[in-house]
Amino acid sequence: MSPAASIAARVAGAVTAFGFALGVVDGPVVGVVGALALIAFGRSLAAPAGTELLGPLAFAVVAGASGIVALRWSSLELAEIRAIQAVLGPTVAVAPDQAAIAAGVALGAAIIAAGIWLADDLADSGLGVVWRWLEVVAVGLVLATLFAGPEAAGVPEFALWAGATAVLSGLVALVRILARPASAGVRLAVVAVTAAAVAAAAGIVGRAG
Amino acid sequence: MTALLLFVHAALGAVLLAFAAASGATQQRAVRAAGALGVLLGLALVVVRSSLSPWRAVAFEPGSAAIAGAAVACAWGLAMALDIGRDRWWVGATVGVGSTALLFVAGSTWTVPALLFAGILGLASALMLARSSRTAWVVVALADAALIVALAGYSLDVESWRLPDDVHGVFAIPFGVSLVLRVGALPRLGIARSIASPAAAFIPLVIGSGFVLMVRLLDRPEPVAAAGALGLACVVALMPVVRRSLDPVTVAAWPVLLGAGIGLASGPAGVPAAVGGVVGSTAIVLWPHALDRGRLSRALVLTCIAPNVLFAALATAASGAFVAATSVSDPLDAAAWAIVSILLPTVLAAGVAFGVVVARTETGGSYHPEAVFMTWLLLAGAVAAGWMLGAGGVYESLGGLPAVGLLIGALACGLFAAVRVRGRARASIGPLAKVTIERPRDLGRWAAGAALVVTVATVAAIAWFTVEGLRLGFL
Repeated sequence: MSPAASIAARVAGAVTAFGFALGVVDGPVVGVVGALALIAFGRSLAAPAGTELLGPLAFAVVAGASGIVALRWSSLELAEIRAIQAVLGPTVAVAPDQAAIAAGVALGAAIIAAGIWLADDLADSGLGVVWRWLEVVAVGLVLATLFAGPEAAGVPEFALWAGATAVLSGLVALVRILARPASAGVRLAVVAVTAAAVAAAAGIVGRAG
Repeated sequence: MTALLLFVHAALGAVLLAFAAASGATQQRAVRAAGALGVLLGLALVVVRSSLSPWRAVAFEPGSAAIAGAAVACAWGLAMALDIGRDRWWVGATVGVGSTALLFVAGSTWTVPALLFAGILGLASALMLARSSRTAWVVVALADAALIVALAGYSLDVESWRLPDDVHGVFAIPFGVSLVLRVGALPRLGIARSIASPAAAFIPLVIGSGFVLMVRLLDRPEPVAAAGALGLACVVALMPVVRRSLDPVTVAAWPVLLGAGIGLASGPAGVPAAVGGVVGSTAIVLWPHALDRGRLSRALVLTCIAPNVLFAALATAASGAFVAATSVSDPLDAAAWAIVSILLPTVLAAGVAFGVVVARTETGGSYHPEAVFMTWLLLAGAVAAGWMLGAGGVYESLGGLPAVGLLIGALACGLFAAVRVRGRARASIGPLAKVTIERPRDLGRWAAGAALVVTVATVAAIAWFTVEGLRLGFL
């Protein structure tokens, strides 16, 4: 099979993710999750044998972490979540402590899972180096928007959002680099641990809510 | 207009009977002509679903019309596309009769005609299955019998001849059993056992009838049932992923469980989910006839990512489940909704994994060009159904028309990028799994006798119920 389908799905997913996360379209968390599903499908189509399950599993972790933010604020709407964060601050820093820590754990798990998921270059896919890092930024932007992004009403809010995107993208990139030497089995095991962490965090946030 | 859309399929079937003694090539041409007309009229029903005027005791709800129209179009398509040689004429004739019966089941406002036509659909499926799978025949016959018990019992109990909006109370049990058996929700135990036989052309009609009954006669959402269906869907999708071996008969349960699970979790998502389930089942029926081709299109139909209609349905159901989980006060209800809220993204991830494995199956095996072509048409249908059924409905939950625009723009970018890099891409993607097409072991000859007894008893019960209805003056 040609990698063209993989590329089409990855590009479509990234464009959709940017569209929802940047607020071009007012949509729900589900829209962003759908965009990440497209990227996961596209990457797994071209992934080396043995690593193709990393994408769906890591995607489930990131989707679960996104759900935790929605659960924390009882809203699926991205605009509403950002408006709440503009008033109260980033999700990971809002009391009660238990919920904030759980959200932090979910964010950490999502960063690790995403970094491992995006670790393979899929070098022969035909997409350039820029695209690999664009996927990292797309995931970083989604996580920043969900966990820390305020409504961009002014320069300070925009700076916070952009800064959070840069930091989280950097962390995803760091995990990506660290995960590259690891075997597929080790990566799968780590992503499984992050899935367990997200499940536990969801339980805590649900109880706190 | 409504009468034409109802009866033309049976008329086409009757015309095909006249070709019994014709040469193979003539039969082929006749079925192609009839099938093309059948597909167009099935799709016409989907398009004009909201503006159909009532005709006698038939008054289509838009949702039922869309599901039935899609099922009819798929069945006629299969009659044309499957590699079934000399069987094609009688398969086409039976599909024609079955299509009209399904449309009456979908549109009837009274219990008696609905059951009469459900009986005709049952007899037509018995005619097909008796030659291919005794197990499937028994299962479908039991589904029909359970439906009679549920609907006739309910009518007599509440003393109303009108089809109920919600079959509840003790009659919900046989009704639920009928739905589970009819749509083939239990892996390897349903009409999917007839895959790779001529009877497979009838699969969309039987599954479509199950979805029509679910959408029409069940008060949804039903979070507990939805959780069960979605959980089983995850298992069905992930088993072949882990085993690296795909058996179409087993994985045929995936699209119906997904459609049923989403439909049970959400009222508004029910119709698009059902249409997605019917389209997905049809893609699996085509699989043994398109082994060496159409892997990507099949994967995109079966996975539930955008812009497949199943994704739009899933997004709608997820929004509804989330709201319910965070707002209902009853702890049991809240727990059920919480499970559904967790299962919906899980099933999306499972669908991605399943789709990847379907796309990366081993090459080799034969293929029938019509089956490959129809698989691509199904993909186009799954996308079009998303827009048609969703632009103002299910896509509303994703942000309405701007979201539709974003998705179209994103897909255009994706296609553009794929075309641009096609020449530069050097990788060839290796296979991950093999496809095993094996006819499952059938029940013994006794099963045919049992199925015949159940079928005859069901027909007798329908006849008794009809006479009883006429005696009491149900109209």
